Amino acid sequence: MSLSIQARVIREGGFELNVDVAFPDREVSALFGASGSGKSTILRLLAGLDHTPSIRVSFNDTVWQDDSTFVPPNQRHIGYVFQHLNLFPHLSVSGNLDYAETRRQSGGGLSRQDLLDILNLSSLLEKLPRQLSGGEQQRVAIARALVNNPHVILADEPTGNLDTATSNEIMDLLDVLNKTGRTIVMVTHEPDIAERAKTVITLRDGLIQSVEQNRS
Amino acid sequence: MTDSDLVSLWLTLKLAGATTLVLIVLGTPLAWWLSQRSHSSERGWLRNTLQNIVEPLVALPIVLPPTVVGFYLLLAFSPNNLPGELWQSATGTTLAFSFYGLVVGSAIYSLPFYVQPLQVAFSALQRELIEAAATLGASPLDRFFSLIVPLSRRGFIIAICLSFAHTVGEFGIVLMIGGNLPDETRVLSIALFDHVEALDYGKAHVLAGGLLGFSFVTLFLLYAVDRRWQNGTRTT
Repeated sequence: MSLSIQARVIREGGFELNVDVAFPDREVSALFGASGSGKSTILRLLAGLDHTPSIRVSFNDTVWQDDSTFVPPNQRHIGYVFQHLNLFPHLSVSGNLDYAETRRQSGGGLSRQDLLDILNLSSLLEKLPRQLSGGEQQRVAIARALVNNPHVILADEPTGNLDTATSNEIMDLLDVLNKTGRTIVMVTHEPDIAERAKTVITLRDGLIQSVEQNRS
Repeated sequence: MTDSDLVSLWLTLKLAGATTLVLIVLGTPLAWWLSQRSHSSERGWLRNTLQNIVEPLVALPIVLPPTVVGFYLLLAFSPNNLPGELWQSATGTTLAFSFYGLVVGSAIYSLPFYVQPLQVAFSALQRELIEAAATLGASPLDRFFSLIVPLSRRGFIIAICLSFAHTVGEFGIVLMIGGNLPDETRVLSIALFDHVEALDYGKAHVLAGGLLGFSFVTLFLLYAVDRRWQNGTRTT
């Protein structure tokens, strides 16, 4: 039982991604590697953001994509933390969270108030994204991705704009979410962040170089 | 202003309102489609080719004399041709020299004034924001109304104002396909033409001045709103 992807994708410009990998269910996995190694491409394919033919993505017993099936991203019940955050600029912090919460597909998980407390967002609710610092925006993006209680969390450099202390808090939060049964796949180029994951998949030039299990 | 001119004013506003509504319903999806260029050379070839053809077709009314558009519409509205025949069998009336015919002609003639600003607004949208909405569970239609419309509001306002004002100022196409029927097709620009023909410059001044003032105020407000929007985006 896991989130898995088999893909051989050749992009214009010659980049080739060739992977067959399963991310263990209810665990934190890290896609680790240098810029351009294919980490974010895998995350986008898992989310269904790139509708690339001839790949297979499945989550537990459900096929999300193969030659005859394509489940669109809005039906995959995922939480996605984008590298560039992508907060809605015309909505306040509260509005951004409302957007996700009103489209919540299942109950349970951390409540909105839990997330506001953990991520220290209560004082920022009325602010617009452009009025926030990079770290504050990152925390809002994480809260927004989690507030609709996704089964799978895909995070592209979730600690990218954060200082070390806040990065550790975010990783602690991912651990908490993991304990509630969420499958988490994160992309990172920081070795100390990758070390926090149970499984570290190292990519190089579109190929899997190693799969290592961390002791935790 | 005479009673007849007041009827023309009402008819003009009704025509501009109906035309703008038609454009909102039909022009919005067209603008969206034109803004979505495919970057995949294999799958997107057909769509890109179609877009390359449709885009200049939409812009044609900007450069064509209204009489050319009016002439072909008049032919199309004839019961001897398919569009006119279909309309006649459905309604029992003819499209030519009718208010509905004017709405069709005006919608075609004002199409670029609606589609182009909106297409620009849609093209400027950050694709990643739409992707973020998808991952949060929003369906394509939900994304359009909950995110794309509010983020493109500046484009919508410009498109709606321009197409409304442009329809108010139409003359040639109205004369070609609508003629000059009181209560039916005699809009303000036609009534003005009648007054000038009759050498009644006093009444002509009222209508000409009114149309001039309306057009200036519309554009003045549009530029003011646009400036304020841009400043607001920069400073807050």
